[in-house]
Amino acid sequence: MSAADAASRAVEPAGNAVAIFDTAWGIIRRTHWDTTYNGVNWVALGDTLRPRAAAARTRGELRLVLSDMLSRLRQSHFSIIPQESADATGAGSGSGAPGRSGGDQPGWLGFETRLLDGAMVVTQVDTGGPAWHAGVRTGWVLQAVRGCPTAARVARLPASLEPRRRALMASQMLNRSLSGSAGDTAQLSFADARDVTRDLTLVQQAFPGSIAKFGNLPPMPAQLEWSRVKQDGRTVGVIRFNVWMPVLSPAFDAAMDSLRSSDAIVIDVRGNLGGVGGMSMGIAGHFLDTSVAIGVMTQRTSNLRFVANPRRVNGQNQTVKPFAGPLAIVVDPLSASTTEIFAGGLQLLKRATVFGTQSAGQALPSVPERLPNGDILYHAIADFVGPTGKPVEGEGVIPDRVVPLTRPELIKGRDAALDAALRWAAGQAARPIVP
Amino acid sequence: MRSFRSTRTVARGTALMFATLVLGSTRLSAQALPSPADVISKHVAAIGGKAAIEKVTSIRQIAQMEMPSMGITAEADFAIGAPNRMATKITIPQMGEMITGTDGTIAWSSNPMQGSRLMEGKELEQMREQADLTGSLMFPADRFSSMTNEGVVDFAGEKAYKIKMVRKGSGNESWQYFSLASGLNIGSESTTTSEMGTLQTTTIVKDYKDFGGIKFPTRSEANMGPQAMVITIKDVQLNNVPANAFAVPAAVQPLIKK
Repeated sequence: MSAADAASRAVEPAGNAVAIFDTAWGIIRRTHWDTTYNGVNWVALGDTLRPRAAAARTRGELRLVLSDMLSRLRQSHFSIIPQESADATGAGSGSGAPGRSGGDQPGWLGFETRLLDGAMVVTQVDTGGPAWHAGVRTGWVLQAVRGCPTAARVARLPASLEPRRRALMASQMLNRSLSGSAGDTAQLSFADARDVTRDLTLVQQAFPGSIAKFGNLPPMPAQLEWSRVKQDGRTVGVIRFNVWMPVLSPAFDAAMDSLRSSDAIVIDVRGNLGGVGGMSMGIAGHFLDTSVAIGVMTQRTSNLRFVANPRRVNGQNQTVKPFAGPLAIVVDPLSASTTEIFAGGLQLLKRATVFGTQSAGQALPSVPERLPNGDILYHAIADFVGPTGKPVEGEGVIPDRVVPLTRPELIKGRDAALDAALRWAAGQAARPIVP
Repeated sequence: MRSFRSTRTVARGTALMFATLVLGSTRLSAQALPSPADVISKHVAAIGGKAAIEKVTSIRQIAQMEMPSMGITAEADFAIGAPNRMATKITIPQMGEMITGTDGTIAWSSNPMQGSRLMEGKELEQMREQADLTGSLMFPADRFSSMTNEGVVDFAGEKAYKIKMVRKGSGNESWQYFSLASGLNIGSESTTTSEMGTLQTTTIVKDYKDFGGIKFPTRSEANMGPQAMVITIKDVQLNNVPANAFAVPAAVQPLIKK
């Protein structure tokens, strides 16, 4: 669903705006785990904003009022998802099948950026993707998208934002401007390793992974990759995935079945913004030999432990032992929500060593509930604390080894955070090196 | 009704993985109350009578399950076999099959997100109780250490007897509501136990329909904290569940110590 399509419904009449407002307001009143509403007088806020909702003429105007209401909570996982975004099916929706080429397929340019020292720097280029074929390499700076300078857009972000929040918002903003369908073209300007401007026109390819469409959530590209890396004479399995969607669970299990004999494993969840919380327990179970809680979800009337059970059965229904070797997890400010529940839980249980940079600190369990007009009220229903009782929201996960990315290293083709994780993992391996 | 107590197992296995409308129950009167046995007897008669129920050895229910707060709709297949075997299969789009069950001795859970596990402790005990076919259909007194009629209350828009039941063995408490007008069981309040913890659950059952001479509710609305689950029964088959339906799944068998 393009931004233009999304906007087209924003101008539709607001409908019964007060009823829609009251539904959203009432859901939060009923389900927010904290009856002080994080210090907000929820009844008074409703009384204040209801007249504004009544005056809304369009869906867009009503969305602004609702968003204003949610923002007063000053907590993550509260937002309005436009109906047109939630109801988009995406390529392969419902099947989890790999995307196919075609105009209605989500596009993919095959590179990632991060905000480093005020610039959007290319931190990863997928070999075989459009960016790779066009010569784009890590360490280049994305200067403009369709003639619009990225630096100017980043500069417009509020100055008060803390750095990791700024990094998250900058990446999300840029990803929106880079989104498109397979076959679309994107005019991009880069500064290469020598700061020479390269104007490139990339053609979006069909996303090579799956499109996850889970309930009321918008369709999301989902991809898991794994590999074996030789490091200091050891074999280290590296698994990287971009979202916690059930469609990827079998792929993770298969990766573990293949990597079970590795000396160590590194899980790279940088840029993974979260997904279905329950999946964190199942993935954690691959690395634990006893049933243990990786955290607790605190609702208004109950506390639910996220229990990870040892995964003792493989994909062929054979008995196996959970992976007992060294485990490293790599995070960054774009690692959020379920990613933080997983990484923070295993870190505090001393089962994993975390590398990279501090995560987003946005980890409130939430649900996407449909409002009477079709829009989605995405709202948190619980707090989440790690196994030591510390909330994940706010501080997030602080790596055991803080390893920021730098442009000079990226230009050399080095991923400092992943390299550090690999070195550590190989160094921790207990088995004798097999020549 | 057994069929809908088994749906609470389903609720535990699904809603808890992702994440009450507590119905007011105002006590109106405590005088001239019928005994719990009388209330239950009326319910048993209303759904078809003891003789008909005693002929039931297995029940299969095909259902649609909705979690409105998530926008998820799933297909569900519930089977229960005398004396205390149960197998449930929930198929969720883009997730796959979530299986829970008991053969009367062990109980299991298996799904693509979390793998397979054997249930233990209170959770195992709860599964065995929920698999008690006769116990669930007729609430026989020998299954409970106590039954108390706590009076007439408003429940789900009806006047209902509120019967507190304490299960023998586990000591699990539940409150069952029986319509004064129809005699039918119209819901319950209970605590659902899983390895994640306990959840207060309020369930309304309604829209009774006849299947093979016995009436079953065809709609269940369960509320657990901020989340709700609606189950719509599309078909009920009696005495048509093959014995192997309760066999331990292949993905669970490696967990059983020989």
